[in-house]
Amino acid sequence: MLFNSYKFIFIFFPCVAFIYYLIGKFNSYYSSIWLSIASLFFYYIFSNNDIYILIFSILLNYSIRQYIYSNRGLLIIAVIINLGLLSYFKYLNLILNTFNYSGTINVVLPIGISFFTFTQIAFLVDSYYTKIEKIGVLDYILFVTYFPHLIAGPIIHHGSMMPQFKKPDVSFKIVNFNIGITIFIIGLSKKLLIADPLSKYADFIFLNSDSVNVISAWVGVLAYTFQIYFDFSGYCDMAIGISKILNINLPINFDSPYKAKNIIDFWRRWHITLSSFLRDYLYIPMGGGKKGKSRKYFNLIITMLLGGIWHGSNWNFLLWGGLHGLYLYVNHSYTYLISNNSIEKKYFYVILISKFSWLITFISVVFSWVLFRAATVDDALNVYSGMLGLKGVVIPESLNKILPNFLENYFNFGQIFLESKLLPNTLSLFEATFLIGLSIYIVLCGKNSNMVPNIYNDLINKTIKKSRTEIIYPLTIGIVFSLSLLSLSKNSPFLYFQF
Amino acid sequence: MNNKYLNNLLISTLLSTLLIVIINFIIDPIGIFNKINITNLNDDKYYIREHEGFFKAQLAINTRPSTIILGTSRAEFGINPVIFNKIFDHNVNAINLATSYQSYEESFLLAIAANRNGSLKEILFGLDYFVSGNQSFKPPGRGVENYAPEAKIAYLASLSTFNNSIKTIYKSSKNVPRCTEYDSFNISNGHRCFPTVKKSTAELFFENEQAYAYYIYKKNSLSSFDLEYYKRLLEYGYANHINIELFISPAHARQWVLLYHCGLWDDWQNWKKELVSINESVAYSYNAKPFNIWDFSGFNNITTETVPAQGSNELMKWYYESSHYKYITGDLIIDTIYNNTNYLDFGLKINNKNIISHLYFVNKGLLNWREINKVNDIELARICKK
Repeated sequence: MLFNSYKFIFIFFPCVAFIYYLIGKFNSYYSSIWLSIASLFFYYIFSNNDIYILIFSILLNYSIRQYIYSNRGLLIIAVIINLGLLSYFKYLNLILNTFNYSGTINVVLPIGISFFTFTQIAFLVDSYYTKIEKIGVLDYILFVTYFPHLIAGPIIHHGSMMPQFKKPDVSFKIVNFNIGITIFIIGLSKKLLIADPLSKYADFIFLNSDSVNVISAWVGVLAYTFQIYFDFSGYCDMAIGISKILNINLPINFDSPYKAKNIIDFWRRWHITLSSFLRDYLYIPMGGGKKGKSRKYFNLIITMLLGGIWHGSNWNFLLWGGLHGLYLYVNHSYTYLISNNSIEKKYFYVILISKFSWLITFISVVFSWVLFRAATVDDALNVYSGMLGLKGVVIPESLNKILPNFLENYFNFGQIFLESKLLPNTLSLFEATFLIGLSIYIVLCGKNSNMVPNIYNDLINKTIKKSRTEIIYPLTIGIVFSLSLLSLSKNSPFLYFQF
Repeated sequence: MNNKYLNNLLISTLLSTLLIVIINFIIDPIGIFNKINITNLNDDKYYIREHEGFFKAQLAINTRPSTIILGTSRAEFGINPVIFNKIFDHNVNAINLATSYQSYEESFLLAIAANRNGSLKEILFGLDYFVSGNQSFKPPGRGVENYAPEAKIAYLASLSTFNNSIKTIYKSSKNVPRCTEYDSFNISNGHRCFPTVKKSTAELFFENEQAYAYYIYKKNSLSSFDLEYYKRLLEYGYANHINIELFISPAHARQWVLLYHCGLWDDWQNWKKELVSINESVAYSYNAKPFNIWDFSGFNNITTETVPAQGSNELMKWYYESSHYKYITGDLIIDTIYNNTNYLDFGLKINNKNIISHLYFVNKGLLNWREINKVNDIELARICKK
């Protein structure tokens, strides 16, 4: 059952929310139990027998957690068990393929395992360092399985979540409902109206990477760049929106990442909860930046490599992580040189870099997505060749016919462009251009969905005109909701389910 | 304020959904309802091709036909159902349900849909080897969901349909001609018109053969064919007293030589044997006379029509290109099948008794054609090797 399905929107979630508030009128603790049952049911619908792995992992970690405070040996064992379980499901196929194993073992990754494993490792590590007050098993089950975040994050931290689960606010609040439904609709529309239509271009180009040219390669890669952002941030918005309706605040996971002006900034805006996890539980324990510059860069690159391979059993992910590690190394080195006046700020290229910092960052990120999306390194190299023009510049056939006599054909240009194909007899170049243009506009000029609560508060406090409050915003959101609902017919899972 | 926000949001959602559904119903870009036709607004249906599986499924359900045509795009372009009126000398409710890349499973589903109220009496089934393989390409959107009762609602309440409605209005207002850049369908009988493209016949032959060699004969393995649904369709015919006339499509001789150079000749011959064998064994199990199977393929006076030279604007009499025959060729097929008219060596009824000798003559025809058309033969071999 996907968030973007009729069953979830019109049956599952309304039932869960209604019963949650109904029970809450009598006893808020029972509301938490209800939410745990609903979450386990949600996971069961998704994954069938994988629920046993989830329950095993929860009970094991809950039992260990009680004795882990200051017990280093137990912590190491617990982390090894968790990572071992994750690695078994995630990397066994890769290892077997690497060693050309010809047997029939085919391990299927339980959905959400990366997220619930990381959530629990963080919990165990913190329990080792700090004596966390006693937590009931039901609270712990809800903390791990809470359905809005279970499948694809955001990775939640017990510090911010446990108090909300222990003493849930079960009084229905129309303000939170309105904010929640608005964020949910924004997320739903990101997924259905932008990410899904873009996916066919990205899928087509990466599937036919051997026949791309410069235009189709860029269209495919840009399509994927925006697809992954709108898909994943759309999912997170939906999770945040659903939670808000239940008076539970989930952490934000995206903060307009494509507006970043350098790679360090990008990683503070992209998949924030994963970046925070890697920083707090990997980079800092390795020494972070406290053991000298060389060690800092080494730690950074190792962190990014592991962050890359976390995404899956494919060498491309490792290369993607490595490339971002390299980007961060360059970024940190450059920042260091500038801040220590080792480079004269008046130099032309320094001015140029600062002027074009957004573009450089954006293109660097776009280039890295090729590795992330391609099925193999060879496919990635094919797409890179296309992007760099090494496979030739092919103007779509219909456009090619009018370009030599552009002025004569000026009035037909719209019609011909409307019918132009990305590659002969394939997808529409016009639609691709429109969707990519719309995406660029939204990510650069649009307001962030994280700002919805602020905007809504401004509406309530009447700092915004009444007409906007009562008419323009709800009508616009209503139209977007309608368009999204009318796009629900396809079963379209989120990209991050595979991780 | 809070309630007003929510109320307006819900009202806006409902009204915009309703508006889109109404627009979709009026414009009807795939021609499912055909209730309102307004010139320069929605009378041309430009988007059937992209949803032809759904269009044909709904045509089968809505029409209650007595005669249907099944098969791939060859039968879809090549058989005009209007000819049945002449053949049977009265108005026959015949529709063309053939679709591009139609698998035997889709043919089977369409036959059942067309016979929902028991009106179906006759099936003309164009058989093509290239959709018989286990790995043959199967276009998306051809499944059972097209026949579900809620399929029409899903069509109306769809943003994709709305997108097509808007583009239909735009194209209609510009009078974009049908059957030129776009394929066009006869909405009432399903016959598809071959687009008039600005290319010479020789160019069309070359492009078509390249596509077949690369995408159909090489990329999608045909080495093991699956005739389960062919068998089930025959069984359905016997069980429901529907006559089925089977025929192997008359693609141009170059297409068969291409098959030879792509290493599929023997498999193609075996496929024919298997068609005959299954037909006779099913008939035996129903204690009935086997359905007729006609073979129009191979090398005969129609399929060996000379292809105009490169650069020539001359059109062919019987063919659009290598794979697709014109509907006047289709008229000959129907005349042969239903009137027993003899067009020399074009079309032969095949059965267990004559199949071996027939294949022997087809083999001979291949050798003969290659000998006479050496330049073409080399060209086709090169296309396959690429």
